[in-house]
Amino acid sequence: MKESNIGPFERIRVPGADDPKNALEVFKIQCENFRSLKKIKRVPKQTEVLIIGGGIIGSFVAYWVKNTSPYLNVTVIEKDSNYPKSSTFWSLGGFRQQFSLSENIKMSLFGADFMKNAKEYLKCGKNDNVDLEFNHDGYLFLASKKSADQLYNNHKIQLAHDAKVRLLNKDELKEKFKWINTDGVELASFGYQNEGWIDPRKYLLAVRNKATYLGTDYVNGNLIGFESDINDQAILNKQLTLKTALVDTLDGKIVPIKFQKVINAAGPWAAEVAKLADIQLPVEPRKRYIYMFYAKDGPILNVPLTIDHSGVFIRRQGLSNYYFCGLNQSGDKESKNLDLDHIDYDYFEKEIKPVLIKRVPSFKDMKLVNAWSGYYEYNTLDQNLIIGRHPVHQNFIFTNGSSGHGLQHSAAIGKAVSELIIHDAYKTIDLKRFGFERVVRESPIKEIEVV
Amino acid sequence: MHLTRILFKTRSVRNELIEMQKNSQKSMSISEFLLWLYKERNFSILDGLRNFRKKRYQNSIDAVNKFFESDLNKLGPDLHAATYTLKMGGKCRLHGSSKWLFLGNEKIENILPSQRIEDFYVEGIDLSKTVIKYDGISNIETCSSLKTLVFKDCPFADDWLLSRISHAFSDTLEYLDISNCQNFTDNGLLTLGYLRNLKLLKMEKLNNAKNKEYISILLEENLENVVIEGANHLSSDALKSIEQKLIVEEMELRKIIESNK
Repeated sequence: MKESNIGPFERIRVPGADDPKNALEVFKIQCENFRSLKKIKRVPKQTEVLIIGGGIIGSFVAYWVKNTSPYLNVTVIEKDSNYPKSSTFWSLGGFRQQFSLSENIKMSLFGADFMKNAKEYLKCGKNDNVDLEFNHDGYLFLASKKSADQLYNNHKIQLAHDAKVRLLNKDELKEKFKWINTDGVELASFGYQNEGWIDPRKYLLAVRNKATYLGTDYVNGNLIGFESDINDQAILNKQLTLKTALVDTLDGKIVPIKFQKVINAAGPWAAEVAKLADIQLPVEPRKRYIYMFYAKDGPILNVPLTIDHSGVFIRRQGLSNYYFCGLNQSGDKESKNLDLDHIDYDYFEKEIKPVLIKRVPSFKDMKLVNAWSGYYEYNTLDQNLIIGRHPVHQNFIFTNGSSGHGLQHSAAIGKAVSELIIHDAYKTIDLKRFGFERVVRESPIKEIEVV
Repeated sequence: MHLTRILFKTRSVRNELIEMQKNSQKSMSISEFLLWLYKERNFSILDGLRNFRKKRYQNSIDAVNKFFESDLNKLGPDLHAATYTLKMGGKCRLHGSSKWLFLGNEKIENILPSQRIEDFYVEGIDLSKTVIKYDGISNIETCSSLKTLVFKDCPFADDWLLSRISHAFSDTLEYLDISNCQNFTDNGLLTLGYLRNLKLLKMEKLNNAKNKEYISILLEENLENVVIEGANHLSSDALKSIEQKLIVEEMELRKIIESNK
């Protein structure tokens, strides 16, 4: 190329770009450029269904709405599509049916059915290589003398719903799982089918890909406020409807989006979203630590996700003797410091390690490898899901307060909400009992936990 | 940030972008075009036509893989399992005989009794080259004394099926063949640890189970009497890589020795 043909504009280049050593850096910058170009998408001015929060529940709502009626426009607002603070991304990914409320058991069974046919549901056109790598090792609850009766009662309810669970006494437990020290265990409940765990990130990305493939718009942005259409007729009918959402699209613009239905799927920050519409929601973010450790002689075969009666849980990670562990505590004891970077290592040494070594003797020489913390949405009323329409704002739909069970119930929640949008009623699972009315009446429906 | 802005302005980047767009337009196949039509104009018939054959094929498979509860109540667990396998195109072996029964051109009434009888036990079920799926297992699950199970060349058998088998027959099963099923992965093989009485396990040609060799070692450690065929602990690739490493080390040693001289 001749020098004279190049205008002054083209001569601007990255300093040092000609140096072959810097080629990789330049290439990285170019890649970034392409990605940012792709990201700048037209924000739709109006949409039928607006979903706030692009985590697993929001993605599933978008997926089911688009799946059942592709004519509806669906827009999802996500704060950060890298999901650095998402509770989905940092969760453990456990699936179980061992609940005491029939709605929860039904939702779990629906989730398991979805997982079974996930290849069919989540494939995008020609690309049908969807392998979610579900681990079939099951879920094991260990109950002490105190909680054994409750475990037995729960077991009866689960059997009535055709859940594949089995009770094990001390000897059976020892025979089946040789690595467990059975001291202090009175009864154990082993979910041997449809239970296990999954990589939550893979799950989220697969569902999100499918939702975008079906035509959902994912918009990067922050919800700032709602505008409601107030006229005399609406006030007379006592039906205040929200009409537009103001969204900060993170590049200095504030865009109004008109909608017909809005779904609150903001996870831990659901209360903030509800507050913008003048609704008090008893949901707050809580922090939970997960520790990863290495144990040289630890068991690999026949290791279900085990929950001790003290609340300590263990889950195998991969095949090379790495394990995740943590502690389920009652809400009051958890740390109030909500900074994700702050990790309490003393907590592991004092509270978790002694219990682990006592329960599994082969973890004797364990080494802490890594630790992180993640948020989960804590329902301060009854630690259960709040789903359904708001009694006054008829087009505001909740999917909040799952308190740590959101991932395994997300498929069912999405299905239920899509039915609520399209048919105005629940069809597959009746979730009327979990409605917002119980928050107004302050009558909690509590899940009776064994741990 | 400043650098990216400069690059954004240069023509080279823009040209590449335009080229990319052109390429994407060129490679649009007919099916993608239909899909685009469907998305833009909502011609749902076109999409339906595209998937019609596939759906009909899958529906026929699902129809066979149901749980036939009324038959189970009529015939009893073992007889129902035997008739189900024969209807699926598999073979079965009864207690006390070494003959494998199968449905050729004969009617099923000539091979198996058509009413519930006592002391009828199935010992072996061979479902190789059938369209068995997870849900179909519920017809076989109720057998009380099954010792042999064969799932060779089953294209629709997956990890869910394997986990179901390993808990349903955990006390009785002695021989299991799961060769050449491409949907089995590591997670499914790991559940085989619950089969306490397993004596022989065949697992050849499982391409998607990446750590098959390692899992076979774990199974041999955990189960007392098991013999595993089809999983060489050191595969030919591993041996080759070890050989290459040894050669490289030798070369380096020679170099060091020569330099010392």
